[in-house]
Amino acid sequence: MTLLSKATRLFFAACLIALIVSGIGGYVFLQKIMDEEATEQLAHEHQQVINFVEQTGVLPERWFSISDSLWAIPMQTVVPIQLFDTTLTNRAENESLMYRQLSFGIDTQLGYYQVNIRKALYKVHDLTKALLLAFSVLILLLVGILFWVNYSLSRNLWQPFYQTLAKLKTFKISEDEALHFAPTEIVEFKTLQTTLEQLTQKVRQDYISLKTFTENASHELQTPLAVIGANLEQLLQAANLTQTQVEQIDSLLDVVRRISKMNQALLLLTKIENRQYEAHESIDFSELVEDKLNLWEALIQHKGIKLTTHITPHVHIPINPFLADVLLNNLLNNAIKHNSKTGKIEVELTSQAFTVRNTGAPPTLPIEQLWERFSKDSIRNDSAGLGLALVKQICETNLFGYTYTFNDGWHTLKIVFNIY
Amino acid sequence: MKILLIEDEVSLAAAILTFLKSESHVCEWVSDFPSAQEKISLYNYDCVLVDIMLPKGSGLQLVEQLKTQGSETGIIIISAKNALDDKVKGLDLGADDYLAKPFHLSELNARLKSVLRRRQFGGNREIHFGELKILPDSKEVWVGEHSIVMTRKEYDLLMYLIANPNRVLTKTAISEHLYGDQIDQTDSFDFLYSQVKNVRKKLTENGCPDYIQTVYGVGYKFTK
Repeated sequence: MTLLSKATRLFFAACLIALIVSGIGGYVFLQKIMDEEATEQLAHEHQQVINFVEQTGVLPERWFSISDSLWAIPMQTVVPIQLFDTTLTNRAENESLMYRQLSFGIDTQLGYYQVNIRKALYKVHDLTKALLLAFSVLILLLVGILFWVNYSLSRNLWQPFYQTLAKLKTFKISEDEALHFAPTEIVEFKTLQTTLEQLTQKVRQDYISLKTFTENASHELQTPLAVIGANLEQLLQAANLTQTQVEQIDSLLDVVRRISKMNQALLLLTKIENRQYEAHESIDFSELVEDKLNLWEALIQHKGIKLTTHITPHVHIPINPFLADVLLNNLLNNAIKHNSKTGKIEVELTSQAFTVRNTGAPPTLPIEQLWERFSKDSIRNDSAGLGLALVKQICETNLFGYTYTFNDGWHTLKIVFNIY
Repeated sequence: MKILLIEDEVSLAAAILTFLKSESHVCEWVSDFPSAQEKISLYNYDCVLVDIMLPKGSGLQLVEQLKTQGSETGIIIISAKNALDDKVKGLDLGADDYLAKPFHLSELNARLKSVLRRRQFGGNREIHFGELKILPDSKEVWVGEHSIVMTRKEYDLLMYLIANPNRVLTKTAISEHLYGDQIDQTDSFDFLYSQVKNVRKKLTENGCPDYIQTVYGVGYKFTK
């Protein structure tokens, strides 16, 4: 829901509630006023009759000067005053009509009388209804105008906000270009823009320093490793080494190599997490897979593994070429490494997915742990257990789906492109 | 050959220098940017080995300087930065090769020899080792009058061995040179073993002495 539609909806709901409440309230209030007004009129006419009798001693002959519906009945005694509503039927239109009647006794020179004054209440009701209708139309009109004004005003007012938002979407941490927001006069938006500018600048600075740090850290570690390696290799050339010494040096060289590879893999993971490998363009994934398989074909044959491929030509995937290379290396390497003797590998590439299947022993780890860093098959000591973690990281960065299943002696690793 | 080493890490430089001298190269060493600048503007070298991260400057600038001088010097970048950008940038600037630390000295040697060979215009472009004769331009291998047909990997293996004679080469160093460092070691060792066997067989069948000596458990040594 957009801000504008949310605001509009809220406004609409508030108007509706206000309309209902004020409508009902207005009706009740008007009704009450009109009702009191009718009683007051009756009381007023009552007073006029009393005044007239006091002055002249007789009842007035011309009633119409006081009220349009008044009549007197001779009585034996003074009757008490009574106010009540009554319903009468209009014969002409055959409908029931409400009246309010005031009856009171009065003492004149001609004897006791009961005077009755009657007021039609239906006229009051009609008036109330008419007033209410007029009022409602007015309110509806007002709400309509307000509604329109509010909508167009909001849209104009929020324009700079939407522009800022659109600009912010183009922000890329790995690029140097600063964000230039469209100028606005509204203080809040100005504040928002300055804050965003400062924030993005800070984020970029942190990003750059982190990048430099990781690179320097790798430099600091790789150089000492290079020193150890170079010296060990020189040591290996010495003429009078015993077999044990040679083997010791060789195992040290192997350790150096493993530390270095682990360092590189961790560094790579960090770099991918930092999004330092953006996909700038689509690459021909089919070609890459073919090249890779050609390169490793001899090794695969040598291991007695039967390779079957179904590669759809010219599948273009938006991924950084370096990451694509790492991804393929890890997937194929796993398929070769964790294969059984005279096993099989099936590689399938469609425009939707890339699947590598291979025969092999069941995994010794729970499947969900396979993707974690440093989780590895207990049997093998020569890997650091970073391969699938790298695959996972690459897939997540590129918004690819990844699944692993083991069925009937087959390991299946599937990468799904365009999951969105 | 005259080689300039530009490297700020003293112990690494020392190891490389010892190695290069044992290969009978004339070798000079500087450890920072300004002195490297001075050396390359004053003298001519057959090859320059340059580190990217140097005190007071970047090795890439030195590559640029060499290229603007119109120098024919071969350039190999040795860097701890295994960053793709740097590699591409370095090669774009005109460096001949890029080697990420840590590297095997034998690998450095093989690349150095290949660079030097490419720089030797009009010279003798045949490599001789005992009975063996190799023509790198056409990738031909001869023993006496017999031409030996080899697969690409077998040829690469032989070239690597011949570039590093009389040195113990570990299986790791050889297999990383041949298959890159992405392939699993146990797999590649196995593969390497069978390829060494093939090369050995092809050479001895054509009357060449067996120059490939096995260093048990560690690797191989190419020697007369």
